Amino acid sequence: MVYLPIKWSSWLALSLLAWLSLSFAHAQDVPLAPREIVVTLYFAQNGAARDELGDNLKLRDNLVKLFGYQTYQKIGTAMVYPHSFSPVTAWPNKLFSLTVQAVNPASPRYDFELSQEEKPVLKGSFIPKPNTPIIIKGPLYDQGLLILVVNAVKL
Amino acid sequence: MKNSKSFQKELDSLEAAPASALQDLRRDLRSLAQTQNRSDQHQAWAWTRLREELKKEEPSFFSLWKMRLLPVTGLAALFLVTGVLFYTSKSDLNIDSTGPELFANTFKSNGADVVWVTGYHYIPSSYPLK
Repeated sequence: MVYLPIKWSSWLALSLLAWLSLSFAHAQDVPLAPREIVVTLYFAQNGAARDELGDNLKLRDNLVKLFGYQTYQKIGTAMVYPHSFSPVTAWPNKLFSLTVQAVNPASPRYDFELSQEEKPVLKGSFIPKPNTPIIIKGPLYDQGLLILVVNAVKL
Repeated sequence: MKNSKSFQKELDSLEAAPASALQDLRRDLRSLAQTQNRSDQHQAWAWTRLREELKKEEPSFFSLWKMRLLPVTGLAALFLVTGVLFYTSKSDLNIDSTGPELFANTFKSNGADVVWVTGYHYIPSSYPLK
């Protein structure tokens, strides 16, 4: 069998692989545009309360599908802008707080900690994306349910 | 033809060529030409055969693809698929820990990330929310 000096093909394939890998890693980890994190606390119930999600039908349909309640009353909203690497805390009401912190300058991922009356409920991380809310099921309250919705708003 | 200058020249150029599996045949031809113990007819046949073998061994795109490009491309595709699987396996939302007596599960619903937490204590209406 004739072996030809075709090292160029190997180099070409390896270069292509390296380029694809770097492109993919770049698409995954490049810091996104600054985001404002908006935390809203809703009280879901089936009573005669006024529904305050009429202007966001997609979210309302999703909440109805998930929890079954028909009206959603907005209890409170808080916004944080995690522009530095120090933690910032949003208080949508006096019961819940969400602390967000950017930990890696090369990644758009944020660490978060949700607390209820300053006791930890959840710890984790997320990548904020507009139009992709995070819905967190809260505790039962009275005859309904508390629900936290975390949104990312592009500045 | 035997020991002719042109034949010697052909053999010299063949031997100067990059090493290949045909070297044995070339060496045999060289040996035959030097020892002169074969007839002109036999050497002509051997020379024809060498030419045919050389023609057969000419690299085509298919053999190039089969011998070098296919394994390299296969490896590249394997690395790429592994990388894609590694990156996509990391979700946009990760829950590392929960509070005591709480359990959390995550899933997607209609374009939203849902954290389904159970184990909360009931909050009576006497507790003011605002």
